[in-house]
Amino acid sequence: MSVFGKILGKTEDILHIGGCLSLLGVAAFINADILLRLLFSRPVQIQFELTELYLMPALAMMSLSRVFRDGGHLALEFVPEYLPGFIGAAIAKLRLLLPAAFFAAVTFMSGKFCLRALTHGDVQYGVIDWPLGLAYAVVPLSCCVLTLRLIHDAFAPRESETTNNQH
Amino acid sequence: MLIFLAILALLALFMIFRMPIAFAMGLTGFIGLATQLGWRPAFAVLERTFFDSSSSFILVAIPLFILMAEILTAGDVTRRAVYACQAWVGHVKGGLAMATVAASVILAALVGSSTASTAAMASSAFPEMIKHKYSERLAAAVVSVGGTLAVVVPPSIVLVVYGVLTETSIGKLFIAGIIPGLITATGLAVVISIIARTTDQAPKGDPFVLKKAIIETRHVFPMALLIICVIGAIYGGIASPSESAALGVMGALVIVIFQRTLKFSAFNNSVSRAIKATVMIVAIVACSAIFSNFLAFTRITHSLMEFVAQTDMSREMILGIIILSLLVMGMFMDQLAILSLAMPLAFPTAMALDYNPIWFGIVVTKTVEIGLLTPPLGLNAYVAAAQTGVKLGTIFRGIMPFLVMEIVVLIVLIAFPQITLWLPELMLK
Amino acid sequence: ANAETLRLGDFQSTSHIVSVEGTTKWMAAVEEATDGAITFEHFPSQQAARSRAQLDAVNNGILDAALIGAIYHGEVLPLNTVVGLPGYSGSAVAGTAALQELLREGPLREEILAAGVTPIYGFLLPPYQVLANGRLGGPADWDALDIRTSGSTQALTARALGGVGISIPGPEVYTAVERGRLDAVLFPLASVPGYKLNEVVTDISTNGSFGGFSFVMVVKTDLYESLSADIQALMVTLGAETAQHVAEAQDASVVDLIAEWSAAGINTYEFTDEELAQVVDALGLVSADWVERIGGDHAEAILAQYGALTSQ
Ligand code: NA
Ligand code: NA
Repeated sequence: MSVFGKILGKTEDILHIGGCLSLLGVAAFINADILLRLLFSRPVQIQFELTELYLMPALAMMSLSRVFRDGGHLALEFVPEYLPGFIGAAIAKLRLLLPAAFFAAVTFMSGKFCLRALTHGDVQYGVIDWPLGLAYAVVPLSCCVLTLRLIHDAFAPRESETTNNQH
Repeated sequence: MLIFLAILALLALFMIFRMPIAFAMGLTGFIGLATQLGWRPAFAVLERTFFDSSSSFILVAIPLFILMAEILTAGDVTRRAVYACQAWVGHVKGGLAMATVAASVILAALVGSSTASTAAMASSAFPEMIKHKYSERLAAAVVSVGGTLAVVVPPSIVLVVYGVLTETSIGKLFIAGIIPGLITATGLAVVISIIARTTDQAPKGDPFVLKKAIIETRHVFPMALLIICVIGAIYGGIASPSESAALGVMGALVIVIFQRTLKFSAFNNSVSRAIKATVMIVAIVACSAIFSNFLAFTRITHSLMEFVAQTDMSREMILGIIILSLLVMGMFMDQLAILSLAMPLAFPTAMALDYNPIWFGIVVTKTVEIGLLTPPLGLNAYVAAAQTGVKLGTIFRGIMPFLVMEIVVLIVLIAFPQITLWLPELMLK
Repeated sequence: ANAETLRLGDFQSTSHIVSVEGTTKWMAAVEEATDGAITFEHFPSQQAARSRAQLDAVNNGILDAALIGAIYHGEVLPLNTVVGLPGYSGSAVAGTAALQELLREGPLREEILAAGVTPIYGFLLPPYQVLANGRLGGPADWDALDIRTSGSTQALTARALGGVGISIPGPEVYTAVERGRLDAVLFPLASVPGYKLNEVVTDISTNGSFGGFSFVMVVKTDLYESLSADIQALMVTLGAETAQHVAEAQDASVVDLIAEWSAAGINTYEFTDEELAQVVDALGLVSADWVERIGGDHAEAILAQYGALTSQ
């Protein structure tokens, strides 16, 4: 496996762990909120915004690329995966490179959006002021890694197959 | 119109050549937007769609209910509970699948989201059916179709959104959903029994032994307790419906820790699987939001509904066209997107034709729910495929007989409004 | 001038009174008065963009115009969130007159212009009231109650009265009240039928003022400036009429709703002068916090001006 492939795989795994921790965080915070207000009628005031602004986007986005690597983004399977000849090879590449272009665009636009919020210091007012730029950052980060994964697989398809088979 | 068809063809082409559905919808929606608005605005749509689609508190129910089911399954709780049901109904052909439907109805009373319910059943009931030699095709279809009960049986996110969009009584809608939900569940059981009798997809289990059945029943208690706690938390006002999902996770953990049946590695695996299912669902929701956005800017539903309203067709025919367009939209779009796109015109049209708003709400909900089962975008089948590893095509084939049943139920509900309206009129005089 | 079709975004549904008596009426009036030189394509119910994304959508050319909720854009339009403060406007008409005045010139208008869009007209919902199972009067009644609020200003409002501000998504409020998860809800009365909250509460206040919600019709500035002066003037004049009309219609509809709920056995009550004084007193804290939070020279001045205008 190439060095690039290895680094990419590690990055995906780290992001995936981040997503898992976010999910456990959501479960823990909501339970703490319910328990505290039940026992002491004191809710965890920050729970709702923390979940909606940071944890939900993180758990829903960070594993985007890792899920693709594992074949988790479903596709129809009416035609065989590898068609013969030049056309078949072209289709196999385009199937990855077109989405790569799309996600590159998403990365660029959402990245710009995030950067603007960061430099403006945009906040959502709440019990504490929530920096919005940090909340937005998870989208360009996740889409960027997915873009790299798509490009990587387009030019090293056999490798991605062996990765798939491990699961 | 021509552009609309061209984009649709492009979408079909991408999907045929096995581009992941989410990516295909996002990409074609983006290209479609560029044809409608120009490139700059189309790019601008990408700025925040993914964030807006994932930053929603209501969505937490999806990963949390999946996590609950994963923990219960990894901790052997579900298998034991299904064994207990098996001991009672296993001697009937297709009995285990019917037990799954019954469990889906109970879960539907907890959950307002179809995908969350399907995911939970797919990771708990599906493996049991496979162990008992059910065909993958039938087992995956049963969990997919059973999941749709969640949006008809209250509480239901779809009914709430319909109620808010059309200013119809949510309380009455909820009550009106109960009987159609039970009819659908019965229909499911009937189809299962027909399949069990005519094919070998649902084998008979061991012969019935009363003593064994009674002994096995003790394994139902942890599950029953959990369900009572979660329902109790909602009805007792301790937690809102989405918060109750987090209680479910904690309850599941308490059970498996108490039983000492969950290894740490299996727990890790549960979290990981819950994340994967959620990521897949949210990717589709976000990308289909881009596609719906494109659809909104083509004004195609607007023109269609306006055209329908202007012709002098009979009211039945107009209703038929509305239902048909909802079914077609259901092939490509998320339920909530369909509602927000179609209701601003379909609802006033239906009211002008003097249809009952509660009844219309149930019919619409039932129709968009069918969309969760139809290819190419049938979210429930997708969730089931992701959770079970069964091929999408196999699941869609398995769903077909149930789809016929769903259409029959829909026709019955349309033909006899009293079925839907009887209960709310009785209870809310 | 050439015929111009404007894509107009709206997060409200077409059946909401704000759309029936406001947006739809204004679009029709402009189309008629300009003799078809201006027409609209209406995208209601967040079809074109989510409520928080409407302003960005106009800025980016996804839309040409939008009816925005100022409160949703606090990070870009902080001063415009002044209408969210409790204890000021007593009716939609009073609040709308004040807002229209503030949008005509001054910091509120400047702030919107700085966001790349031009305000045409603005109006308020009737002030938020409290819905509960039981009559809530002075602050003593609010102690430790779980109150559904939306946004930080309302959360602070609940806290200032001794309660606890709870965030719950709109679609779940009905269930949460029905099942007792929430003790009370701060809600604009005009939106109560949409969420059918009257089905699950027994008491609704009618003369409280627990904050406001403002709508502003905005048009992308480049586009607006490309229109002829006549058309611009028409849009603004018709907008002023619409603002006034939709405010009156809402106040009237609230009176009808209250009568309807009363007849249905709901206790629709007025705060006594003494209770009102106590409540307003407790809520002074919220305005002070807002001024401190927004900062700048303008916050205090705007608040004073808004207070003066609404008490006229
Ligand atoms: Na349900
Ligand atoms: Na479908």
